[in-house]
Amino acid sequence: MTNKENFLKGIFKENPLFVALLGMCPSLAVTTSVENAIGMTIAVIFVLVLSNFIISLIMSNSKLAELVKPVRIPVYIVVIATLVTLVEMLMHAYLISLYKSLGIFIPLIVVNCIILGRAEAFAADNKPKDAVIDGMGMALGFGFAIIIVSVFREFLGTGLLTVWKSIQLDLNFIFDFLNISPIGMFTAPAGAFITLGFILAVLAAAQTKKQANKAKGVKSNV
Amino acid sequence: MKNKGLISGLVLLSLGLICGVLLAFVNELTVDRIAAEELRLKFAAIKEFYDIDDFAREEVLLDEGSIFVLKNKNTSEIEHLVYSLSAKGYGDDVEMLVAVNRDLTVEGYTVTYQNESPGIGTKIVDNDFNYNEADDLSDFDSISGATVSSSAVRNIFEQVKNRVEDDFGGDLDDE
Repeated sequence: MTNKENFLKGIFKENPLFVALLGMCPSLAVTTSVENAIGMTIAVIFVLVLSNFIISLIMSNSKLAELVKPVRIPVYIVVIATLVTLVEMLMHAYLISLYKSLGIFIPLIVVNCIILGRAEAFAADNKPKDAVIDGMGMALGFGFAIIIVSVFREFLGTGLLTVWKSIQLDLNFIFDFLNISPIGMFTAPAGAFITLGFILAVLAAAQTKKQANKAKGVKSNV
Repeated sequence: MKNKGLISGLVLLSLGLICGVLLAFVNELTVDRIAAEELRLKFAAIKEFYDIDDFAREEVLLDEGSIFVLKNKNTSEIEHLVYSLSAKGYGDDVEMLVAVNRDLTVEGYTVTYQNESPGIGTKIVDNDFNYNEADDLSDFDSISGATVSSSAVRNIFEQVKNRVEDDFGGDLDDE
């Protein structure tokens, strides 16, 4: 696998949220605004890239890997929990409003399946450089997915798009033009499930159509 | 290899120690800034009610929160009290600032932290609960459909009501 393929697989082919359906809990909870989704993405990039790098570094030393193997899951958890606590402290100190907004979902990154999954499935068996590229791709794929969900939820629920702090797009004129109000349900948990369900349905339909076209092409060639 | 399990355990212990030292180091670097940021947020919220630069101010720590005491710079008399208190809400604790004048009128209140259900419990932010006299909660208006969140707010107001007269009466000097 080339570096480019390794990087892009996390964004498209093996997208953690839209394809593997991993990390659903924070994805549904923090996507009430685009700002929250961006903040969560930054935190996940930091944790996933560094955890993949450190775990790959430990496991690429054959003597150390042999000793770590029987206790590898606790080792992964110690590394991931340390990185998440670092993110939490730094965010609390330097981005306090985002820290308050993300709340409990920052410490919960520790138990995010994507982080532990990539550590066990990829970083432990690959070189540090490949593990970093994989981590970056997967984190960006996760971020890309939650930002898409948050754009729909915030726009439909409030008529706004809060990109960062005071950088906010007011799109309420669209609702005014349609003579309706924003649908508050989209910022509630039910709205998260409905939005993700629609996005997954559209992606599945597109995939089915692509496969049907492919099969048609093969048939006509025959 | 003999004692392989023990050596694996020692490797894990060493890693834990390294991570612990790293966290202690970063904590030491950030702890002051975190405290300053929390205080800055509270002062920014208090500025909604009073121009705090006009007063001598001090913070009295309580078990359940704190009180910002705003005193007359010349006479050192307490002019206003701003309570920073919390109570259990639906998703997490609800934290509020409640500003009370010397004549026990409520200058205002604001939610400084909440993690209530979006669209339901979050209505407590910027809601008028009809709390105008610090020692009287008889006209309190709950939000229909957000019972637990409203109860948290009422609980905070009750904490204020139960102590405000004593606080203006000089009890804060004993804290």
